[in-house]
Amino acid sequence: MELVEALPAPLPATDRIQSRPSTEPSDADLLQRIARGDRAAFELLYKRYARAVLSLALRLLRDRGRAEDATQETFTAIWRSARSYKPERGPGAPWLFAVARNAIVDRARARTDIPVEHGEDAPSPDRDPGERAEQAWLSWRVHSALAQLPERERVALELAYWSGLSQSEIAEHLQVPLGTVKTRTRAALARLAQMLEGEEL
Amino acid sequence: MGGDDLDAQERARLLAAHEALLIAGPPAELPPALVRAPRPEAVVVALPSGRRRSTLLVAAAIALVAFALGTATSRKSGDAFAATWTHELRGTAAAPHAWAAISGTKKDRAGNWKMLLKTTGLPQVHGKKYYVLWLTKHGRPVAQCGTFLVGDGTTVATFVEPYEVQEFDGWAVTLWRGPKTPTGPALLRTAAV
Repeated sequence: MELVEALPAPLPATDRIQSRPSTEPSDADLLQRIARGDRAAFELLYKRYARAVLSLALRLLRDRGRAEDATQETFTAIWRSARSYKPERGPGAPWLFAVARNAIVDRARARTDIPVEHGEDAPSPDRDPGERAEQAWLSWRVHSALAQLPERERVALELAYWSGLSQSEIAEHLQVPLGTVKTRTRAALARLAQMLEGEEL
Repeated sequence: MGGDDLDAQERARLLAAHEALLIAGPPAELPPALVRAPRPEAVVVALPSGRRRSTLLVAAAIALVAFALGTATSRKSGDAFAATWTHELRGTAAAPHAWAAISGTKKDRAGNWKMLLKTTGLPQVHGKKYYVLWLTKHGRPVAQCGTFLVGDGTTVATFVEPYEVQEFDGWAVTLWRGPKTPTGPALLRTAAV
């Protein structure tokens, strides 16, 4: 997909994007609430991270059944160990990534024929372990950021990048004007950029 | 296009996000079992793996018996359906709660094979809109297998196809909205077969 195809005219200054609505709690807030047994916080964190965890597990395990098990185990581990998260040591996303990676590696160890290099991407002859680990971390950040976009922006972005549809076809599918699709895509990209630049992810 | 109106700094930021999306690829779709958060607070002791495996085996045996009974019933009514393969289709971002299983027979003497699609979670559509089942190549729908509608709960639709299935790499379901509208995104699709 070409970047320029997605971009309408710049937004007016008054419409500048906030990376996350101010009413949305941060990952750190949610983890502290989960540590106190707050089920609603756990469900919100699950909604935010479930696809990122499953994507990471699929990337590392290459087995859908075990990846789904590892996803369940990750969130069980988060529920049980949220008290060990210390917000003064950093934002929640890296802590969540570490918990997920550990659960996935544990799941892989239960079966010796699944190669996992301590949470790095599956071996590939043309990429070194550091690069694979960096890509797994980037994918994690992108997928968890996507989950925090407003629904209509997330759908526009996912259709634009991964459905093979043109902007006009997306407008037809969503039954909205072409300009609306471009505005949503642009806003989603800007919000995503801000999240990826920020401290949170 | 408005992309030219961007200042260099803003363009670089958006380009970085664009490239990150390309590198990350699509996030996985959650299967029905993972749509809702687990209830870890209710878990006292996890099933030992051996016992869990036994539970799965029992469930598989029940499913097999149910399938065999269904096949036998079909044969009694003169509509034999002896599936030799089954694949799962999962909902995409455009229909995250949809799910389907597709089963097929061997080819008959004439070269046709029968296919049975069981699906849940697709919204009901009306007014000359239909769901379309496709065979895909490289993930793109290329050969139409037929159209169907869905009702409440699980819908079962049957198809007869002449295609050489090994020439394709999966199935997809899209929504047909008229002859002049684009195919639209896949609502359900298989992993590579």
